[in-house]
Amino acid sequence: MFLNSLLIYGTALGAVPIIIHLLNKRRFRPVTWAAMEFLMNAIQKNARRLQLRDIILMLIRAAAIMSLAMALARPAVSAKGFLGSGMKTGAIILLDNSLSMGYNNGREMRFEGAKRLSKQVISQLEAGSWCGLFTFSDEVKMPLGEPSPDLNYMEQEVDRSVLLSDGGTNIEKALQRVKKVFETHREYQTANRELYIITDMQSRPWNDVSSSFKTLVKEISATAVVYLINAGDAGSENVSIIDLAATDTLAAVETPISFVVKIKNFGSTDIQGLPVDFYIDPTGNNDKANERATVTVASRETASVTFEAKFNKGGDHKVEVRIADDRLMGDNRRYATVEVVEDSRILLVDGREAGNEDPIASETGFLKFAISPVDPENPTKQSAVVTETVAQQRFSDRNLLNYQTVVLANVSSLPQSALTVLEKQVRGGMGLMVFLGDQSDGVVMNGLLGENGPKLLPAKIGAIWGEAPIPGEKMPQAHTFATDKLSHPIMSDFNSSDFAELLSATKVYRGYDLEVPQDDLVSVVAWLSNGKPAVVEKKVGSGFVLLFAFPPTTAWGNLPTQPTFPIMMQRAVNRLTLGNRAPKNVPVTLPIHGIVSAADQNTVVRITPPQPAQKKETRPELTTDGRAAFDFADTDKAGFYDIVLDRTPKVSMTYALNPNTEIESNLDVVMPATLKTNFPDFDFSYVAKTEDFARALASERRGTELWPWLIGLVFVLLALESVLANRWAPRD
Amino acid sequence: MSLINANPTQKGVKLSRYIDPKVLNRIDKLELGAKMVVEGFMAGWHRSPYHGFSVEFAQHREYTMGDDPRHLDWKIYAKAGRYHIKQYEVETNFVAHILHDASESMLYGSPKAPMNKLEYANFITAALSYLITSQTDSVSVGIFNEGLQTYIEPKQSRAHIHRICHELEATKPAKKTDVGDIMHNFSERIKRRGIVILVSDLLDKPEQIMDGLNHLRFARHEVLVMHVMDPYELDFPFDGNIKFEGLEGYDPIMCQPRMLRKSYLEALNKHILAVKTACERNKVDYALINTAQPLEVALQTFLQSRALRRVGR
Repeated sequence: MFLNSLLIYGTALGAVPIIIHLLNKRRFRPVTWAAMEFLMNAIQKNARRLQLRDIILMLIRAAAIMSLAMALARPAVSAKGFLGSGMKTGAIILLDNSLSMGYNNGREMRFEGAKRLSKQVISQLEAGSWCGLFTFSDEVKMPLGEPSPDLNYMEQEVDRSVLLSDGGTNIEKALQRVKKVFETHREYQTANRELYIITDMQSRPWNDVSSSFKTLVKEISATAVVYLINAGDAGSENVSIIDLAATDTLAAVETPISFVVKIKNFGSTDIQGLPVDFYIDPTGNNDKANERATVTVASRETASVTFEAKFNKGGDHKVEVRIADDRLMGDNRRYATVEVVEDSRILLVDGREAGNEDPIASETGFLKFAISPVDPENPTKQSAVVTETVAQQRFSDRNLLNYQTVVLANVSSLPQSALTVLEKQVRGGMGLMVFLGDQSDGVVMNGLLGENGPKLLPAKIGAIWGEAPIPGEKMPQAHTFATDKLSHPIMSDFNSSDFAELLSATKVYRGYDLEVPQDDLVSVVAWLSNGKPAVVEKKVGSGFVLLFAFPPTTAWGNLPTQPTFPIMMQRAVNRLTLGNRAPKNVPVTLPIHGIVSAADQNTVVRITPPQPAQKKETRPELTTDGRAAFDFADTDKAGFYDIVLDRTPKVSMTYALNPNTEIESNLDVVMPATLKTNFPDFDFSYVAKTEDFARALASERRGTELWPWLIGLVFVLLALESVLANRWAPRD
Repeated sequence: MSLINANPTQKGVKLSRYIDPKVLNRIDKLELGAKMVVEGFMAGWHRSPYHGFSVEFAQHREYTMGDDPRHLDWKIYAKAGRYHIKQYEVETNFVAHILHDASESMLYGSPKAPMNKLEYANFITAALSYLITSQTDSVSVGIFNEGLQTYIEPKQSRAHIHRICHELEATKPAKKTDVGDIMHNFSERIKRRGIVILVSDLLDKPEQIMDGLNHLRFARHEVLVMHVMDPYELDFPFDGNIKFEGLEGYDPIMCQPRMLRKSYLEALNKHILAVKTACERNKVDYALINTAQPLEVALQTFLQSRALRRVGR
């Protein structure tokens, strides 16, 4: 690299001695001469030597001039070697805008410092260089547009257009994007590539990488000069709200619901009496906390605090928790959206006899207790979930529009008219649970609800396996629930050793073979220890269908009498009641994916993010499953995103977006030496954020300047020329 | 003493051009004599090689069989009782043969010299011819380049000088010369012993030159070599880039002579030394004449040194 690249053309002056030499060869004074013999004798004796001397002296002079010109051009050798002077620079700045960059060191935010560093980087690029600025958190974005040679514009726009996000740090994703740009962007294919990673050097993102990351950094550093610029600070003290979650996803009006808040102290000092404020439906302006609690959080430990809330009307409600602002404010608030239902009505269709409260005699007795339990301390209190029981023969009398979920318990058949309504309602969002039993005929059920009918069943019902226990006789072989496959949301509560123990106490003696098809819409909720599916789920339109291989009674097992049954049923009802709507508590940077009915296809959707300036309107588009959906991708900031469907009546929704504080709140940094150890093929130059950063960066970029050596070489060459010329000069 | 014939010679050649009174005034006081006895018919300073009944007694020697008894010195016999012969020396005329080099290389003349080598040699030849004839001796001149171009028979007259001058003036130099070969031919041509004076720049191989000189010496001629060189040829003072265009058909040579000077002078001095050494070995008088020198000084120096050598012998 030449710092005064234009002066490199001065090396052409090295041709001057050669030209003079050649011109001299052409300019000879003619002399008529007689004593040619002696002259020829002298030439024969000296010609070769003299010619060699001439060439040596000429080359020394040319080298001296070229060395001087080179010295004036200020060549430099960087760590990557001597870079070609003729090629322009193609630079990419990867600017970390994750939540941790919001850390304020008392003078300025890390992100503001990082932006200043990026401007200094841009200002040091030579005219004609191309530059692209990418911000990276969980997502990689180009706030200044495609890479451009307009460096002045980029430098000016950094302050205005480059914004901090509340996202996590995905360095791997960012470098994959860089690699793609280097490979595909025409301007970068023929340029000296430079990559500037400006980050606060959080350690977790560098640890949470895939096995291919080593190869990725090796490939990038092989084709580009990489500068790792530390924009962080020494401080690592931080307290963060890492979670805010309702204990129940289904909240009903006037029904208390609990929220558990987890607060983690990432610092090295214990925090005593930290106030935690709880807000219900905050407006953002002079809100007053609905409740306050204080917690003590030991260093590196997590503390929990529980708040209870009650909502007096249905719809989406906002819940927010705040702790006192520290240096990293982005993790001192956390948001949640709660969907409150006016009531949840569930129709239990009994295959035997409706209205029989004896759980032994009916198919729905245990279900009713499990779904709508009675508070022993307040027996008169009505549950948020209201159940109604009807015999299968009376099923068609009920208006299914009044129910959020229908449960078919060991039914043998259903009227065709009721089936049509049932299918429509399920596809529109209603939940359906089907329990098989001794009255169910697999072939009939497959015809009524399955493959040969409306295709509501998640699996094809096969043969019955096992034996039902008969009182007084030897108990047949029993099977329990498999405890190693509990990832489904309905079963996830059992995904701990205590609950798994409870689950393993369940015994199932008999059931139906459920033939699960290969279908993305179908998933197995729970497995039995004999390897057969116990519960299978299918997404049908906006609704869910659950198929149980056994009845909700003790005829084929003891599940209804186990403490796990109410939990499982309430989870199932919640899931079915809410339908397969998109979750409203999502991580930042993920796009909001809203699902509405097909009727709202052309309805204007107004989206108001936490920064009102980024308000946006959109319209839903029809999806393949007969619904309509819209997306909103500008979700860099944590907070509430209010969405209104502009129709009559208006429909309001609220999404709560939160950062991944488990990672971003941890301000532990990785040292460059550790990176070198972990990624031996990652070749980078480390530049710290210092007062003389610009000079340090310039020094790193240009490497070691060679001009002092070249000037020395000039003197040596001139001295050598002098000595040789004097030594070889003819003596009189 | 007036040595000049002011009348124009035939074809407009003026004798005065080569016979400069100033030159001759300086040199005519000198004795140009042959070191050895030559045949002659003109009494003078030159001793005859023949001992006999001539004018001047030279010496006695013991009588041997075959001697003419008429030359017996009876007085010695009367005194000593032994037979001795009286020997006499005769001052006689001699013939000088001047071999004049008119090759193309003789045309070289540097700015430091008043004239080129050929003109300088012309002056030498003319001056010597004049002096020789003034002593009532005869002189012949052979002008050569590729071969013997012109030969002027030996005579002793003023008109003869005119003819020599005319021939010198009229001679056109030719490219090549072979001094050795010329001397061989010339040696065959002249029958009477005499003095052979070679006036040349001797740009030939020393061995060939010496072969020719030896031939002359073998014919019992006394040989004088007047080696005419330009001061630039002797010093080679050139600088810069020079294209040397050879006079005797050599291809041009482009070089930086300053770089070659040392080697050139070494080669030249080696050549001169070889010629000079060979001359001394063969009792040939050698003189290196720099054309930058005034002609009279050069001749005077040469003749003085020659006279000294004769006394020494």
